[in-house]
Amino acid sequence: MKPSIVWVVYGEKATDACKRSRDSVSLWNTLPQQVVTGDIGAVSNKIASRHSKTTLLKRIKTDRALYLDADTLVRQTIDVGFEMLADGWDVVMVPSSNQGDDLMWHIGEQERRVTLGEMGYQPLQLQCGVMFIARNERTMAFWDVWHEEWMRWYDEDQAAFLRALKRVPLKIWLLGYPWNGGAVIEHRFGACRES
Amino acid sequence: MWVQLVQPKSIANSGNQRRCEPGDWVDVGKQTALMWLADGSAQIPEALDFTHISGEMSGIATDDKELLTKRTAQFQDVKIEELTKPGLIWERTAWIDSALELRPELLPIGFGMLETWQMAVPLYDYKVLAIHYGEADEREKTKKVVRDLRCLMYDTRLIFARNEPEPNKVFELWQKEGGGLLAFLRAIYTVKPYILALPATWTTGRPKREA
Repeated sequence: MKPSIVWVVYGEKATDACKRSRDSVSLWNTLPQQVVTGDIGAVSNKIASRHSKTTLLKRIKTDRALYLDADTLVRQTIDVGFEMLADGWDVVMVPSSNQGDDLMWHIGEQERRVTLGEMGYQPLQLQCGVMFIARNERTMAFWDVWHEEWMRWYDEDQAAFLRALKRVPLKIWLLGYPWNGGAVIEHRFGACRES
Repeated sequence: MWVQLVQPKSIANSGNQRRCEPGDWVDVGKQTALMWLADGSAQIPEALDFTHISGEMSGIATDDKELLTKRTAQFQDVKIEELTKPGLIWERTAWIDSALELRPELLPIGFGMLETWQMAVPLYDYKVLAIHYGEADEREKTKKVVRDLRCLMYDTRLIFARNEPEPNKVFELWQKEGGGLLAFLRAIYTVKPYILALPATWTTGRPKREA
């Protein structure tokens, strides 16, 4: 089965950005594209998008997928990421550029504090805006737990991702910044945020 | 008294000020610890278990036992064995290269990670990728295994691992391929253990700050 490329899109800014992102992908491959959207009764586009992202594996239709934030632009071929999944990795992703002092800078104070307490140490923050995902038993279980953890605060998803990893570990291959915010996949962080 | 910081602190250590970050564990006087716990700038998570490091089933493997014994003096019951090459001895082993300027306060946390993960290893550097490292021949060999060299590497001076088939296979392949960061990367990619990447500051020290 061919892999697919998936976006989660809520709001006008995200819709416009996603069109550009889809066009950029189309320059490099003809893989099926899926946009997850639609009213789920959320009180804001941000909550709707995080809800959909943390339930993504129930929505995608292929065994392997590349999730892209709407504010990304693909600048080179990305096929090798799917080959890594075929080799046996569950998720292929990139650490956040915000580590140390900037760890979880965008997370609310209470969630940040509780997360650090539950982790017991200062973890490596992972960037969840570009993820190659294998759809298997491990990732299905992980996504359920990620959603549970996200629902504790209904806010951003990155701290919830780390807490979920502590409960359900995955086989993760880490790529470098060219793959998220660099030469392969450009990431205009925050371009879709609504004021 | 050991506490985990919630806010950054400057801590005096042998006459020098040391910057510590949220999430860091620090050993400070009882009065200071209680004051920080009271104002919420530090905490002691109940779940943390410091017995990981001194239990019967865990210990440190290193290339210089004498040196490591001095560096881990605060953990009096920890078992340390000297090996001629990296390997796993106990059910939970920390391989520590004696060239590493060890942050001993992280050892119990690293052992604790093995509750969830088969291996826990710090990243080498966030910006130095496999494509930037080593000789051309070995990079080419590595690319054939890992498919794309624009990937992160692990700092093999500090490896926490459970004594299970996958981590043992990683160590075996790593040594068979000559050791080194790219060889470790090939071994990890080939075996695919459950590996937790730890922040690079575990082995490179705390981030340098401008005055």
